[in-house]
Amino acid sequence: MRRKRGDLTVFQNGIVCENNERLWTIQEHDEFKRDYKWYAKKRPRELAAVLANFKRLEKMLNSNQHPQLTVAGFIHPEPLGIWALDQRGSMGNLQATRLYCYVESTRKNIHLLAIGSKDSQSADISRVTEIVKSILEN
Amino acid sequence: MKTLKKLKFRSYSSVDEMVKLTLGTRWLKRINQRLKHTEVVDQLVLARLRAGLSQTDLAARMKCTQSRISKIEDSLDAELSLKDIYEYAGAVGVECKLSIN
Repeated sequence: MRRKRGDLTVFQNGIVCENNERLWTIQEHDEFKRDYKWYAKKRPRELAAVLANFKRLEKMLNSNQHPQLTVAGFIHPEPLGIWALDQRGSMGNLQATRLYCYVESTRKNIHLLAIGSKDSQSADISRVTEIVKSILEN
Repeated sequence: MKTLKKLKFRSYSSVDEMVKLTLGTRWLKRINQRLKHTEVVDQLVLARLRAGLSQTDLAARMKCTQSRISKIEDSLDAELSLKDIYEYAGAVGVECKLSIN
C-alpha cells in the first residue's frame, strides 16, 4: 500500500514521523506506577492536571530537534537533568503536585520517575535521583 | 559499594497511549478537556520551537524581556490579548487569522 504524506510508520523502537525523525518514547518506571495508581484513586484532578502538562511537554519535544529550547513555566529543572512538571495551567484550586521525569535526549526516551506533592518534594527528589543514576549506569 | 537497582519499566509510544491503556478513555477526555484552556498558547509555543528560537531570541525580536515571553507562554488562552497573539505570531513567522463568520 502506498503511504500518504504525513502517515506515521512503526519503526523498530517506536514511531517515526514523515521525515524519519523518531518520536519520543515514554518509559514508565515501577516507582512511578505506584504513585500513578495512588493519584488516580485519591487525587484524580491533580493527576489529570500534571498529565495535561506532560502531554504539552511531549508535543513540545516532538515538534523540535532541540530539547534544550523546551522551557515552560510548569517545568522545573532539578539535579541530574530531572524535570519536575507541576499542575499549573489548570482551572480550579488544586494541591501542588509534581510529576518527575528524565529526558534522555540521546535515545529519545522520556522516563517517568515519580509523582509527589510539594510536602514530599525533597524525599521525592532523592528517590528519583537514585533512579536516574541507574539509568545513566545502564 | 552501593549496588544499583535493576530497572523495570514499560514503554509507550505516546501519553495518549499510556493514559488509554492504564486509566481508560474517560481519563483521556478529561485531560484533553484541560488542554482546551491553552490551545492558542500551545500553538504559539510550538511555532517558536519549530522556528528553533529560545525565549531570549524571541524577546530580542519582539523588543521585550524574556520574562514577558515566559509570562505569555504561561498564560491561559483567556488571559492573552489579541495584541500579544499577533505580535508573538509575527515574530516567530507564522500567520495568524481571526475569523468572524
